[in-house]
Amino acid sequence: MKTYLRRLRSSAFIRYALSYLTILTIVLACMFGYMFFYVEQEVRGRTLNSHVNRLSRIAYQHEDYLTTILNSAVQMGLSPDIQPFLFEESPQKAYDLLQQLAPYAVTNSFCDQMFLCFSGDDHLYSPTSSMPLEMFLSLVTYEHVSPDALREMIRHPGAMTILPSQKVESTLIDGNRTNMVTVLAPLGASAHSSKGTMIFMLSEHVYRDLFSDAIDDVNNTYILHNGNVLASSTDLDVPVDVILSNLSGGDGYHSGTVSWNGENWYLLDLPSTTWNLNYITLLQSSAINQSAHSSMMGVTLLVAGLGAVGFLVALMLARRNARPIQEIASMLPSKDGMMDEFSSIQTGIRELSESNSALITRLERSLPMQRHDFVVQFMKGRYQAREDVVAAAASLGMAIDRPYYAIILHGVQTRGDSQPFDLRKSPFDAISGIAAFGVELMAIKAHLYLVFADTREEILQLAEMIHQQSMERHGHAVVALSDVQTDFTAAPSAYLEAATAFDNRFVMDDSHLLSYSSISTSIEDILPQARRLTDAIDQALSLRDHARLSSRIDDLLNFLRHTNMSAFAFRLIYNDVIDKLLRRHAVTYASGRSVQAYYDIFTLSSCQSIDDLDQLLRRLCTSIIDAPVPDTSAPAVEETPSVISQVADYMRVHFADPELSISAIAEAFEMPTARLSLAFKDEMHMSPLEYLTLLRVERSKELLAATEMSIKEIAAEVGYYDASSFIRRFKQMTGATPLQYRRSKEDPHADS
Amino acid sequence: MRQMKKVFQAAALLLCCVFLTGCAPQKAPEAEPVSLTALQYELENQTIDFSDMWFFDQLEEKTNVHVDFVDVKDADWATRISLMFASRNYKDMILRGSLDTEEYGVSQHLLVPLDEYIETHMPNYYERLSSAPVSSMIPSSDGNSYYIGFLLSQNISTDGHFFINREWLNKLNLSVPTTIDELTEVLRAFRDGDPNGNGLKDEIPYQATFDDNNTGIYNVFSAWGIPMNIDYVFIHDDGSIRFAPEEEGFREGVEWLHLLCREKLLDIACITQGSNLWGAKVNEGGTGYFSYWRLGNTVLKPELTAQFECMLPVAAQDYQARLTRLSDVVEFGASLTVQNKDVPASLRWLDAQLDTETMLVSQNGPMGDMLRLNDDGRYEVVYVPDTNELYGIVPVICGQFFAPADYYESIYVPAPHREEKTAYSDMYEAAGVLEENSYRILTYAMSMTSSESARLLQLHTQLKTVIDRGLVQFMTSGVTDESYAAFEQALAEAGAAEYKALYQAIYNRHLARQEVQAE
Repeated sequence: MKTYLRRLRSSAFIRYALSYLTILTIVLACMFGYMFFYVEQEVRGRTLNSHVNRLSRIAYQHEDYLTTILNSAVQMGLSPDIQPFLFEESPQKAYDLLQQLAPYAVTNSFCDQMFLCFSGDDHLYSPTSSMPLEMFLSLVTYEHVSPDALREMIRHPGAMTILPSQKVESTLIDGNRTNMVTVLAPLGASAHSSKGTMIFMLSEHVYRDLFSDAIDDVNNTYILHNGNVLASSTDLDVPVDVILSNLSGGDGYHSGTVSWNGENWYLLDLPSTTWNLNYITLLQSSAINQSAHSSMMGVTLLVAGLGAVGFLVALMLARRNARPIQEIASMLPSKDGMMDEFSSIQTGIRELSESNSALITRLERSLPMQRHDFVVQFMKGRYQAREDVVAAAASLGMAIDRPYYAIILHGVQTRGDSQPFDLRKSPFDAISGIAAFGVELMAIKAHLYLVFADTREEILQLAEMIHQQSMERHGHAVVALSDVQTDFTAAPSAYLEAATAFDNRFVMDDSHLLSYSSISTSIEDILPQARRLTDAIDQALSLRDHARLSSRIDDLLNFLRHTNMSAFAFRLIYNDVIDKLLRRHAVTYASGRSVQAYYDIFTLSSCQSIDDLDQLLRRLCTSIIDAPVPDTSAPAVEETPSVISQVADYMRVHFADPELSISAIAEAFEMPTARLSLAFKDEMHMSPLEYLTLLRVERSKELLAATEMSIKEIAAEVGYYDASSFIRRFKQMTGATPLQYRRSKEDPHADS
Repeated sequence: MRQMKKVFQAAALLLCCVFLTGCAPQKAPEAEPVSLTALQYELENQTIDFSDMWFFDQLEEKTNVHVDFVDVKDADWATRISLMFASRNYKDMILRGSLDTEEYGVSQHLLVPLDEYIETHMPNYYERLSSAPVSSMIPSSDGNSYYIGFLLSQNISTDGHFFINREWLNKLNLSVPTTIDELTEVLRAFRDGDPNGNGLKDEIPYQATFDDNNTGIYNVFSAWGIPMNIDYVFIHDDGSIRFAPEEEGFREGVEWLHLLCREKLLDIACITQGSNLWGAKVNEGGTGYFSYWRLGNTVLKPELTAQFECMLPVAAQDYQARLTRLSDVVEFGASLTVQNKDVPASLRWLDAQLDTETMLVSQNGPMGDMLRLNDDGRYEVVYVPDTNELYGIVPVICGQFFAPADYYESIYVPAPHREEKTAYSDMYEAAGVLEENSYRILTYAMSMTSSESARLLQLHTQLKTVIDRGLVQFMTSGVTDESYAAFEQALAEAGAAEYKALYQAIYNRHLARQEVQAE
């Protein structure tokens, strides 16, 4: 039982239901409380207000009638067309008078009868008839006014007189008998200047209409004039004396209660000082209380009804809201049979969250790897079409679908800061149109940025900014930029361009951005001048002129410094320079220091910049010039071609053979491959493969410039099986693609 | 055996008849329920809810047509009609009162022309219409009938009759006067002879009102051969239209009236007093001579009227008496507006009211307590309530009624007071003192265009003012050549010639149409 109750308490449905029912109970309790305290009062007040409004309306309408009557009497008295006359003397004037009275009859159409009596004439005129006063008195019988009194009132009018409603019998009125309120008013502005008397008779239907309205409550309504009942409408059997004795007097509306016959009554009194009238309504207290109680009962039933409906709605909502929770809870593995649904869900969500966060972490960690892979695959040209590239990038959240792209290499190997720039942050984010992705190239100690942009300028701007930031951060920068590309399948070429530019960091002024487009494309443009300057050094050596020698070395180095040659070209050149000087002055250095000291592979390989060459060259020249003067009488050494020279000759003959390989050469010259390579490099200062490549590239240049052979044909002609390998080698060697090279030869001003 | 067979055959036939009778419908299939609206005319002193009236509840059960009435009192009738048509929101029907069918039917085409429907949907009305000579009054100037007529033919031809106090004549040993001079002398005798015997000279020889043909002084001019009426025009025996104040004896008539006033033979208050006061004065017993509708009425006391007898109108020397003639006129019964939802159902509902018994019930009250059917096939009124009780049960004259004289006589036993009136009419008719053609033909029977009607109304108002003022002046101040010339001048300026000519043209057109219809 206890367990069952515990499970019941832990049910989501019960929790919801209890919550809703609590809210519902509070709301209904507030409603009922409000109604309990205010509705009864409100109903009572509203009932009384409606009766006060009714009294006001009756007062307004009634006094409008009286005002109309009084105004008519004044206007008729002041009218020049209505002048007193004696009927006996001027009966014809009576005819005219009837015509004059007709418009006033329209104005006072609410009156049943209207008569005019001139002072001293004893004749009455209505808009349709005339008669002697005595005839009128004989034809009209008032219940409470004697003919003599009426005659006196007509003959000697004072201020306006109102005869209360009473039975009037006359053949002059419809039905011959009805209740009438009679108003006698002086004919003129005042009683003193009166020309006579006006008699207005208002039949009971005027007051019946006045008292009729939409109020259903049983009530008595009275109009009092000078404390007497002028007219009334009575539903309740309460003597009028009771009303009159309970009037408090005074101005303004007031209400009170009246007790009579063991019952209480509400008395509403609206006095009117203008005519000394009181408008009074008498209501049954019990009826009003009953009305309030009925309203209370109605309110109670309403609240109860709302409560019942609310109860059902609350249960329905609780059931509806609890069901998905129960379903969720049922999907979760139950940790504890006694655990409630909310706790189960809480525990389940926590576990899911933890496992999900681990998953997210794994996913987040793998994403850079995937992006790295994408960049690598992209640079390797593994995608067949642009759409493939874009789709693959999009799947990794990389929005690269831009018209232009380029590769930036940012070297970090010399100053230790291996952190790449985050191109999403300031100041790089100022260039809004780019999408850049970086990978670290461990082999060359550089960061690679693959940059996509809408314009070329944005890419250049970014590269400059990376350079500038690197300078600011480290005081040194090596930033290489490929040409801006549009073909997404030519990424390998772009990488080669960047790598070429990056490799040139030693031979170029790396205080500026290393742009592939600025690298000199041909050694042929450099080598003749370099040899001429080398010859000048040679002459200075021969003359043993230190000053001249230094000057000539400066000339050579300055020339090289201002030539944006490739690193490969730099190596060829400095090999050529060193080789030439050693050959010319072999005797000198042979008799002095070992040739190996200058042709040591490690020495040479450490010569990676103009400055290195400067030191090497000055040291070599110093050693030559400081050496003893050779004995010119001694016979010259017979120079016989070495094996390496033979190999080189062999390669010059057979470089176009695609089957020509180092191992094949080694086999031909009966030498191990490794020994051949070392010997070749010792003698030729480059590997056999580099030499072979050099031969092939130089031949291809001739063919590109002199023939119209296709790239593919030329590749086959110079010993490459496939054009792709040829293009990569050619660009690595010269800094330009074969096609660009051909165009440059056709149009010297073309942008290479 | 053969007889047995016949018996079986007869029994079988009888069974078949009984069977078929049982299968026959008990009553005709009821018409689809229809709900209509109506603007209903109501007398000024009535407070009636037509929608809650017994008679119309019965009619709804009979016809399956429900009508929502909008009750309009006489004083508001013209205004409400105008407002309804101006609002473009018409009721289906307009019932009783009056309606300018020339304006709303002929000119504005807002009423349904009914001619093509009547024969099919109003059999009661159609049958009586064809037998009533006055039916020619119904078509409008374009020849279409835009309303259902209301006709209560009383078989009378007179308006007011002259009554003289027989007791006074006997007391003074006088005979009934036949000339104006004899009448003058009789009136003088009434004034001076103390016929009421109270020792006072309080007798009023001639008591009258002013401008009507019932108790009014307009009847005085009959002595000079002028059937003076409220429209001032009449059809002379020669067929011409005459304007009463222009007639030869008119001046002599007003001079006689002045004589009566001057010698206090006529109560001068007649120029202003209404009929109520007139009745009160007559009822005081000091009157010797007056004109009135009949002696049996609700105004005069029976014990007083017993003193009086009807006399023929007197004639002045060289003149033949001519009094106005009343003729049956078809009044406005009902019209259907062009927005009527169901014309056949509306006409069916109206015609149901013209069923003989239903029609008499609508006038006199329910069968049994108030009306009965005699063995001679005529309906007779059993009880007439004193008060207006009847108006709460049946529409009385606000309902539909169409009874030409012969038909009415064949179905209805007239009340005694009606018989009295008929006797007076016969008496005057026999004496030849009535005008040959009733003046009412001019105003009721002839169709006139709305512009003609408007112009005549305007001229009538102007002329009535001149005539009434002239009469007052002449009666109180006497007649001189100058004053009478001024009177004639004022009449001319008020358009008397145009007024008469307009009526003449309308009458000529009426005669021409009658000739065409006769052919």
